[in-house]
Amino acid sequence: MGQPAALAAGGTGISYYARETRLEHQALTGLADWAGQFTPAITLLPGDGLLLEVSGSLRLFGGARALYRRLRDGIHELGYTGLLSMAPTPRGATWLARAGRSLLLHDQPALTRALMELPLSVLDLKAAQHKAFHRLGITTLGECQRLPREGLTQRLGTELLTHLDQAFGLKADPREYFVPSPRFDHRLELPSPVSNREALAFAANRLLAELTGALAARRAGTRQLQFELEHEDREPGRFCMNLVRASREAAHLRHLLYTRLETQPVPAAVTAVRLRADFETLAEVHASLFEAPEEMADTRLIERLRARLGETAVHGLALVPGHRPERAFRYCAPGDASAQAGPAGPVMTRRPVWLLAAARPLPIRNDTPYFDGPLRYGAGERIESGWWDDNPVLRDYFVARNPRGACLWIYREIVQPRRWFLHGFFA
Amino acid sequence: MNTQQLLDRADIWRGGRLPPAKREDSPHHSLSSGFDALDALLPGGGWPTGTLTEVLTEGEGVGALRLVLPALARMSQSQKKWIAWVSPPHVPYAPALAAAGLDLSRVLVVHADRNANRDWAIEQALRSGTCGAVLAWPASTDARVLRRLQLAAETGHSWGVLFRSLRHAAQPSPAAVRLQVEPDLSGISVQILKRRGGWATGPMSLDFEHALAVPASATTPAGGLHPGRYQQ
Repeated sequence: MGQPAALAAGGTGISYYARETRLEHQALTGLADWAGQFTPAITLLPGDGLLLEVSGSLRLFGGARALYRRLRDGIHELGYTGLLSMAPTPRGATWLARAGRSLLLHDQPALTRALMELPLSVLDLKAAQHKAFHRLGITTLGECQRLPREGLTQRLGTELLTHLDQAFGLKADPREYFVPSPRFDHRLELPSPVSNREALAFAANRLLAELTGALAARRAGTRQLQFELEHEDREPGRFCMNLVRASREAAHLRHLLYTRLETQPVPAAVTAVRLRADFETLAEVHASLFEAPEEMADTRLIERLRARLGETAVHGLALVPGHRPERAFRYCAPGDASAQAGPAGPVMTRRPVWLLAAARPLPIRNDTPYFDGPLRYGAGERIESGWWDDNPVLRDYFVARNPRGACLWIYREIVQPRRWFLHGFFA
Repeated sequence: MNTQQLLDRADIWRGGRLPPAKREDSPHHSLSSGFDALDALLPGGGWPTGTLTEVLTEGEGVGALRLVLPALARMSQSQKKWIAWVSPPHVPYAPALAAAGLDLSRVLVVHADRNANRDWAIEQALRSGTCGAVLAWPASTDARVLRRLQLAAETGHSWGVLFRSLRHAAQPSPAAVRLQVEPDLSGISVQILKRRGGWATGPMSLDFEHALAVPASATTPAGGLHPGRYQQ
């Protein structure tokens, strides 16, 4: 060994939660998901802590000290106060944390020295055993270790003796690893109901940090984030953030979340926040990150705009073949490469740059259509189309000018009542 | 150093002439308007990007959009950046835009319902660095908002085109270029109210029929500009 290999975040430090097993388990699972970005070998210590096997990750994260700091800061950022110890054996690290020590120990001799001073309470002794040691005047692991082996076996039983040996690095300590779920689904119960948006953002951000950790662990991104804000006695409020391209960029997701939260109605105090997200492989996005950085940024603007203005607020424009003016275009996904593609139907000689969303009826004065003055117009263009569906078009179109010089696109119905309409502007 | 070298210096300005086109390291690049004579009057020889351009009109259908369309068309074909339309008053009509040479796949149409959202969206688009141009119909007339937009355009190296009512012509504005546009017989009449490094000009006529007949991908900008007189 001689290498730090294990790390435990002591659960007693999770002060944010009432000591309720269900909640602690939720919190630990969340942390485990988040910690997956540092190592795939994670063990849940039920209701108590997390064990990370980090010997394989040290080089990647710049050494034991750097990794220790990243973990400590990360846990703090998530809003937990944990005890963090890093040591060459998993049980050694666990016991250090359980005894309230936050230590980074690089080698076995240092760990052995530290363990010698730990109280016996880390051993989970039965009351009778505890009494027996007390009578002998033994209070630390060190004193315990100095007892003869046979006597120790009698007093502790083989299981606890094995634990001691594992802590001191004398016996192997295989663990079962945490299996991350295929979909992110975390719920954060708030210590007290919250109606203030900032406090809500803070809570939601914790879930987001867990999500980005989980995404990093899977080399994945997400394209859809579903939030649920639970209330005391009403239906939960739900909102969804959709991304154009899968991402796990923490700063971008946080920005989107805050933008979205600004417009999210919060009619009552929120008791819990839930975040669900799917994982999506990021391999291609990663590649394009280096090839076309401006492409990445593209979608971020769209996502930001949608987060505040709504999912349907941002479009691209595309041509649609056909004669009917109001159907010669459509809104499409931004950047749709096919926007320009396909035959534009007939060659449109003169079309206005602006089309009115709804044609505006024009008043008639002295038998002439009127818009800020009587309109002058030349030869017409007949458009008869759409007889096969419910929106047939039977119109004569004209390019018209009013006395101010404005250039308009107007039409007259071919059939009765032969009304005049303004349909666009050439400007 | 001879006189010519001296005169060629960027920081020496001769009366009656615009400063020479800015160099690459300048935050403001320029974009040919597609109208030769207008380019000659614009600072840097074209629409200045990384700043705001204000187009002031009275009423609709007067040609303000077509004034900037040739430059937009060329930009859409040379840059992989968005051309964002924030809260346009009507539907930007795809067939006409495509016919003018605009690559529709670069178009981003943003609908913002409330006024505050509208100004926010304009600023986001300008600042993002991913919009070559932002065409905007701002809700606010607040000078502070306009200054924010100007800063955002500088940050994002974007060309911000604000379409506003002629009513605001008397208001001070941080825009690098302010133009007044009115319709005339064959196109529009343009009057530069303000330009960086130059004085205001009298009205001049731009001929659209000519300019729009040439696809924007053509190398030479087309179109005639005839100061002081109307065509035809």
